[in-house]
Amino acid sequence: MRGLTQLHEDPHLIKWAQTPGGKLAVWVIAAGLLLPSYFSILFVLFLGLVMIWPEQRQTIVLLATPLVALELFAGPINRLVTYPDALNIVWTVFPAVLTALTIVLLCIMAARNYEVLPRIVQAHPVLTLHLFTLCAIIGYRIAFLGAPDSAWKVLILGTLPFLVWRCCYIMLSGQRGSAKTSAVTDHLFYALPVFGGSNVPFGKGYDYLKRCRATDPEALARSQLAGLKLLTLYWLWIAVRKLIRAITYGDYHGWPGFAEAYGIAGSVNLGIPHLSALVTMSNPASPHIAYAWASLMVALIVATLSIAIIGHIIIGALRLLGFNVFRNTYKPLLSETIIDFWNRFYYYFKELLVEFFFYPVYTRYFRSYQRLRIFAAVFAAACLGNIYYHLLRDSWQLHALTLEEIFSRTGSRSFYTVLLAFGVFFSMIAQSRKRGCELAVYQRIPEWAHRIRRIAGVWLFFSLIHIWNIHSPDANFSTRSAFFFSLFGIDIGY
Amino acid sequence: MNLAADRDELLAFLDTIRRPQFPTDAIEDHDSLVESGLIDSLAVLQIILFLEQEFGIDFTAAGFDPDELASIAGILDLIERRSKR
Repeated sequence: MRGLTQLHEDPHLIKWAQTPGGKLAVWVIAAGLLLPSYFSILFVLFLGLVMIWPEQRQTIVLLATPLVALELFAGPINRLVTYPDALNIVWTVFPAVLTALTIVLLCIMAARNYEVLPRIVQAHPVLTLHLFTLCAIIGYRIAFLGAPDSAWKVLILGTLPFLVWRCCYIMLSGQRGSAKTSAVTDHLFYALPVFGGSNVPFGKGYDYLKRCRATDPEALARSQLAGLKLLTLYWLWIAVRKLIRAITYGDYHGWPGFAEAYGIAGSVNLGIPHLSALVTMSNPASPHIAYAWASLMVALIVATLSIAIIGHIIIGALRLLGFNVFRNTYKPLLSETIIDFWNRFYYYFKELLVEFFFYPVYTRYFRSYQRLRIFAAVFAAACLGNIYYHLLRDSWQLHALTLEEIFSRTGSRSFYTVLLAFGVFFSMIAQSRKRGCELAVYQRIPEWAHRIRRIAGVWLFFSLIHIWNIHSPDANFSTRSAFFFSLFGIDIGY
Repeated sequence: MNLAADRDELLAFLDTIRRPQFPTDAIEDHDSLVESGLIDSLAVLQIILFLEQEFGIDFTAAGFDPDELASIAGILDLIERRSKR
């Protein structure tokens, strides 16, 4: 089994993948795995060019960038704006793409000439970018509240939250001094990513990508085979998620027609309710308590699979381009500590929080008080940074609301982040206590039993805090809390 | 500044935070400390503390790349560039 899962590390396979026949096979398999997903024929064609001229892949990706940028912004644009006619699309999309490109280029220039920037910007590059973004969003709210949709909405609410974290990575490489010797294309690659992505920059920024970049044919072949593995896992996890949803919830949505034709659909169904429905009930006593617990665990598994699915396709595409970066989700359900789960569940989001919130606080404040220092840094990342990221991400929905309305919408998630931060903090303290301790020579309970107990503890923690995080438009803080207490047979009488 | 002395001091420190089953002398200077299993990812915080206290490195001004602390060679390079001792 291990041989099969590590097939991409097989020396013979890596050697074969460097031959013309091997490259063709890699490309054909990649195309077969990418095209049925959301990746376009355009990306697959550019990937073909990368396979033919791997040493020119920087230039090829640069050519692909403007075309893919249009695709990239199509999602937020469709979500944000209702077009009265086709002409408005041109007047809305192109200014947004051009302005986004200008912002990115300005950031790259600033990073490459970091020493000429004002002292205050040099000291706080990330804060400066975010102040600029917040001013733009608040300015938009003041100037355009109630006005018809315009290019400004696409640019400010659709584009800036996407660009700002990537621009932060550009500025970080300026601060570290690595941007000075870099090319503009090195930064455009991840600022306008042809490999896709969400507001979270998968693959982080220049410094990390540079370290992971394949520099010889063997490394490129290894990276591409690792990419194919992730694309395969992407489809496998989609199938597993469908199966779990079908068996537990009776949700056969998206199953092939034959499943219904032969009576398979609906024949096996445990009748477990959706957690998103349970958390909306003000008196969640109706389902049996065992069903409620089962629903909680299934929700955690489905959420983990969903994150893995999103990450695998993006990281798989990035690896095909020759950047052998860490995968976004790596067996989180086998984690034995809370901090380990957080690290493995959504790696690039955690990295964003750690690089832009944790380390700045950790290196600046409470340096004489180690525990307080860790506590402040963890809260800055897992709680405040987490809330801020989501406020910015959802600014296209929230900009027209009052502060009270924003609070009522985001209150449950804020509570979730507080619980997460406490969990991460105590997990870090517990782990640092254990560090350096010798293992016990003799244990009455076998190690595997300890391991299962630790994994179960992690599942319990994350499934419980997920109650305040799961997307459910009709649920509020009180109904979610009522559901939590009902799990222990307590009716809080809400 | 003495690179050999800095290296000895660093190794002595890593010995106090390493996982018990991984001896410090089992890894090369360019091996990843975390990926080799010598330390866990959180031990990086203790390395920061060590560098601040023992070598007077201030991470606030120029920021830092956590990956600079990924190997013995990386840490020694950082000490050489930024130590105030």
